[in-house]
Order: sequence, then C-alpha cells, then structure tokens
Amino acid sequence: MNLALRLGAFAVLAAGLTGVGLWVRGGTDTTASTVVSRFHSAEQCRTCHQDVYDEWTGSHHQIAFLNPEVRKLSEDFRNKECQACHLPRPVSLTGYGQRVLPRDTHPNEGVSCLTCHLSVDGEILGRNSVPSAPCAPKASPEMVSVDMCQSCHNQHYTTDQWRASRFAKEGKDCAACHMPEVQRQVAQGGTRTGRSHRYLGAHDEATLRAAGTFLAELQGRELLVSLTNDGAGHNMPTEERHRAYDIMVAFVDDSGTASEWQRVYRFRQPYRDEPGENTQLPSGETWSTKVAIPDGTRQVRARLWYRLTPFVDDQSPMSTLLFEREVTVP
Amino acid sequence: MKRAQPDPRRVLAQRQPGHQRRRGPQPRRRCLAGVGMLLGCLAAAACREAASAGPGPLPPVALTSKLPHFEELARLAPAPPEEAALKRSLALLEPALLDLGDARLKAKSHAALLDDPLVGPVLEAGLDHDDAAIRASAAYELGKLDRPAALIPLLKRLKYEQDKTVRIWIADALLRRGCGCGADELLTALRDPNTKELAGERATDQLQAIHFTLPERITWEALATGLERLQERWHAVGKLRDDAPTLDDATRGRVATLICQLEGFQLRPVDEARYMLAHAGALALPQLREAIGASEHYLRIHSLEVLRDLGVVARDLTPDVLPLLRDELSRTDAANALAAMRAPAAVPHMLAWLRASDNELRTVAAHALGLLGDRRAEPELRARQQDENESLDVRVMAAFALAMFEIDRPAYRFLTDLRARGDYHEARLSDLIDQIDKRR
Repeated sequence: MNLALRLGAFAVLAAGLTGVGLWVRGGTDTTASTVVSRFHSAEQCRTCHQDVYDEWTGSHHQIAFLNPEVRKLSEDFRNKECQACHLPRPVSLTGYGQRVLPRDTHPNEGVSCLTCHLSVDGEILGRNSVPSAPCAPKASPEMVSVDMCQSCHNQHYTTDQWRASRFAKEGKDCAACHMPEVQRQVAQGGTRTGRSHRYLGAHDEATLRAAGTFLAELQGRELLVSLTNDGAGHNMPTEERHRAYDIMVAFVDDSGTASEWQRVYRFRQPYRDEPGENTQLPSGETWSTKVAIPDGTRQVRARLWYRLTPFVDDQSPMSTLLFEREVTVP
Repeated sequence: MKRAQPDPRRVLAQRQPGHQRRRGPQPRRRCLAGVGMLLGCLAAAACREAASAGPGPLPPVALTSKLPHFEELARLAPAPPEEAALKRSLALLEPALLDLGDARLKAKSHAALLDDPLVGPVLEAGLDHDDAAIRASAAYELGKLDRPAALIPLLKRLKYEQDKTVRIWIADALLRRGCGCGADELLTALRDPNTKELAGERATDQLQAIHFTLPERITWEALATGLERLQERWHAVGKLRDDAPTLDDATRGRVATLICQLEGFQLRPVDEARYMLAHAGALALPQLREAIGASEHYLRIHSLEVLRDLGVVARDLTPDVLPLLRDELSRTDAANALAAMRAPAAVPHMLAWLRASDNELRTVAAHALGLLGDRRAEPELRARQQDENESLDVRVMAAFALAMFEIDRPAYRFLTDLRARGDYHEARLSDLIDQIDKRR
C-alpha cells in the first residue's frame, strides 16, 4: 500500500473514531437547545405590525417593568414575587393557566408580543394560521383563551371571579372588554378585523365607567345610593389590593353651602397586614345603602370615585371621578 | 522491518511542477486518499472546534418527580395544635409578655406560659400579634426556647416586620438559633441612631455568647467589627459554628413544607418560601440538592433561585447544578446560580453560551462571566460589547462583566452613558453599576 493510500485509510479511521467519540459524548454544545427561536424582541414584530406595536407601546403591558407605580409598590422589584408577571418568559413555556417565570432580557418590553405569541416550539401563534406571512403564525385556541390571561391575572383571582360570573356562561372573555375589535389595514389592500392591543382597564375612564351602574335617589328622608357591577366580568375593583372605589356624598343646605364630602362606602380588598374585610363588589351584584339626610338640606350630591391607590384624595391624578348624581330634596 | 528513509532529492523533485511519479497516476487510489484527507481535515476541525468551545460534556439531565417525597417529608413538621387548646393557652400571651402594671401576675403568667405544653405554638402565634411589644417578646422567648423549628416562623416574621425594635429582637433570636442573617439585621440597626442602643446591647450579648473577644471598654466599632466577622462567616459557609447541630425532624419537616410551597400558583407564598430558604444558610442545602433534580419545574427553578441567593454557601452543589445547563427550562437559572456560587466549572460553558444564537443565553452568560471573574472571557466579552449589531441586553451585560474585571473604564462608561441617555432599563443599569462600584 503506497503512502497516499495509507494516509487516506488512516484519515478515514481517525475521522470515524472521532465521529464515534463525539457521538458518544453527545457533542459539546452545552446550550443543548432543542429550540432556538429566531424571535426574541417585540422590535422584530414591529417591522410588519407597526399599528399593533404602536398600540402596545405605552400600554400597561409594555410598561409593566418600567411603571413607577409598580416599581414603588414592589420596592423596585426587590419583592421578587412581582417580577414574574411584570417581565415574563412566554406563557407557553410553563403552560396556559400555569404561572409564568421571569426573564432576564428586554426589560423595557415588559409583557411583550412574545409573552403571548411565542410557542414552546419557538414559532409564532395567532388567532389564525397565516403560512404566507413572514412569521407564519399558527392558529392557537389556547393563545386566545382566558387561560392565557390566567397565568398572571389569577394571581389576584381575577379569572376565578370571571369563571363565577355570567360573562363566563355567556362566553364573553377577557378580550371582549379589554381587547375590543378594531379594523386593520391588510398589506394586500382592504381591512380585516383585529383586536386592540392597548389593554384598556383601570387606567381608562371609559372602561371604568362601563363596569358599573351608580344610582342615587330619595327614599323619604334618606338617600338610597347603589352600585351595581353589571359591566365587569370580575369584582369591582379587582386585581391589586390598592385599587378602590369610593362612594362619597355631600349635602347642600338652603343657603347653597355644601358640606365636606363624606365617604359612605369603600369597595376594596385590604392589604394582608391591614385590618378589615374584602369589600370588592362581585360581578352581577348590587350594593346599596341608605344615608340619612340632615335637616335643612336642599340638595344631595353623590359621587363614585375610582382610586388607583386608596391613600389619595379627590384632587389626586390617581383619582378618577366616574359618576356624579344630584338629588333635590323637596 | 526497518523502513527506508525517503530520498530528500526525490521528495523535492516530486514537489516540482510537472513532475510525474514513476509509477504513474492511479485515480481510484488518489480519490480514496483525497476523501480520507478531507474527512481527516473535517475531523481535525471538529476536534479544534470542540477544544476551542472548551466545556467538557455535561451529563444528561435526569429529572424525577420529587414533590411526593417532599410532601411526605413535610409531615414531620409540627402538627397544628387542637384549636380549643391553643385558644386556652393563647390567653396567657398578653399577661405573660406585656407590662400590665402587676409584676406578680406577669411573673406567674410567664412561668405558666413557659410550662405550657403549647408554649411553642403560642409564641409562634405571638409573632403575628397586633401589639409590637408582644411580637418582640415572643421573638425573644422563641430564641431561648428549645425549639429549633422556630427558626422558620422567625424568618417569616423578619420578612414582613416593619417595627425596627421588633426586628432587633427577631435578629437576636435568630442568632441564638444559629442563624447568621441576624447579624445583617443587627448591623443595620447599629448604624441607625434610633436603634443603635438596643442593637449594641443585643450585639454585645450575642458576641459574648460565642466567645468573641471584645475589648474591655466596648466600642461601637468593636461591635460592628464583631458583627461583620459573623456576617462574613455566615455568607461564606452558611453556619455560625462548625459544630452546628444536625436538623431535627420538625425543622426538616418545615423546610420540606417550604419546598412544597415553591410549586404553588400564588406568588406570595412562593416568595415567602424562597426568602426563608435563602435566609436559612446551609441548613436547607441537603433538601435543595434534591429539589433541583425535580421534574416539577417550579420546584426545580425556584430552588435554583434560592441557591443563587445563597451564593458561595451553596458552592458544594456545583456538580448537581451543572447538568441543568442542558435543561431548556431551567438552564438560565442554573447559570445564574453557578455564577453567584462563583463556580469556576461554569466558565467554559458560559464562554460557549456567549456564542449561542439565543439572545437570552448570551445575556445570562455575559452577566455570569462578570461574576465569575475569569479573564479568559475578556476578548469574547469585548467583542460582544463593541458589536453594534449585538442586542443591547448582551452589550450591557458584557460591559458589566468587563467592568467587574476592574480593567475596563470604557465599559463602565458605556453603562453610565446608557443610563444617562435613558436607552436601557434605568433600574437594572443602576443595579449593575452599584455592583461594579461595590466590587471596586
């Protein structure tokens, strides 16, 4: 056997042995990743979905990890329990309805496109399958289900409240109120029906107003005030314990002088170390009370306020006046 | 048989252009030789790649269900007493621990409380009392009581306690129980003019109890130094004494209960468990070692987070954590834990991750290399930090790592400039810059 042949045979043998060796060792790739998604940032979605991106930008999902209010309450996320939902990995990784895990990247993106739209296989999920689109979304019933929202929003039992409400029986899910339908331009021309990605809720006056019916009427020498939760598929308020609804009344006497505003009732779940009962108003229920009207009163004013935190007064930007009723006393 | 030496002139001649070998061309053999050479080169390249990647092979991840085991173990925890009996004993709490103006009554009630078979549960309930004075006294008594498992409720109270005086008494009790996180608390209180006196008194007691040599005329500096020594030891080995007693069944049961808690849905109890396990030092390590091999992913991942918080105290668990670098769901948590544990074995793997296509892996690797402080990573980190096409997450963490090596002012400036421009998450940048400043 000449030299070339011997060298060749040796090389074949060496290559074979090396190959077997590497195969036995299982390779040296310590990432051992079976799934490497090409998607990692909401910026990638922006290329084609600028309109959705614009809606999401500034939403409370996008600012979830930036929001000064949240940072203060979580002591800048030193309360580690908060980070998982405010900077989550994709929900699909741990499973729909299961708790999410925190991630280390893209802190400015908070709850990003990929939190909901990235599958466990690294593919994009959507309401419909569109194989021709650059991201080729696949239809996922779970992705658009209440279970998706539950992963974070049942930390404060909101989806449990929904399941016990008539909304669940009627099939009116979270998206029905918080992601209303919008018309979107289609690249090929025309429009299609999509869903808003603003996630309107506690920071939107119209959404807050739609949640309940506030009434005030005279019953003899008393004022009957009531609040009915007929528009929310969960408690009023729901989620965090610092949210509150306040019913306030003031009395105007014959001379036109108004009394100080007095709080008649507060709907709120207290903090864990705070005394008091949970007075949130469940979906479908009405709360009412009668308020005695002082002698000499010509008019009674009643207001329903929403507070982002219970420690603020009416002048605070954290307070939103939802309804005002005026009742003339004969 | 001895081989003939090749004739150098012939070899040279064969290399000349146009030279024809004497035996003439043999295409089939040449082709075979060529394929062989090609495969040889490929094999060599593969070997070279393997060598440059550096990390040795990781054993396969073997995860098994552990929750039933921990649930079983949790049964060792003290069972809650019968409600009516506890209520009767709780009646002793106020007269025994509060100054109600009758010293004799207090002494009698105190003696009765300590003799009561339910003294442990009663004092533990006292930790959650509305009255701060009762919480403080309950903590003090629990520190003295022969009830090692009281460590867990004391740690829970420490997590939420707002009253500075009560915190000092909890710290005192924790130190008595052999838990060094009490030293952290006492040091903080010693630096606060409002709590300095009480903290100094408790620190003196505790340091004398462990035979720490204090000067005849005790100074604030001497107390602070003593507490810092305790703190250093605690954060290095997770125990205050070499002869720390082994866990009794009740404490093991309570630790197991906390580990089970990690698997729940609500994050508040998860965070409580994580906090207590991470503040218990080396005490929970044997159970955490088992928990990181759990197929239940929350159990596994949150246990890794606890190891991260324990840092070098958990270093002995390096061989247990390393295989998890292969686990899709927990690998970044494993990397964070190994970095905090300052486990050198993680360095080659992190270097390999720096070249991964996954952005999250590169980010975590860069951060980990900064903590691990291995300067072999410097060229790769510098390349990542300066690559304008690289994601900002990776560039930030690479700059952090370079600045942690104390060799790279431009990297530090990169971070401070980013913060000034508001181009990246401000709180995260501040946290990284603080870490660098502390290291310096």
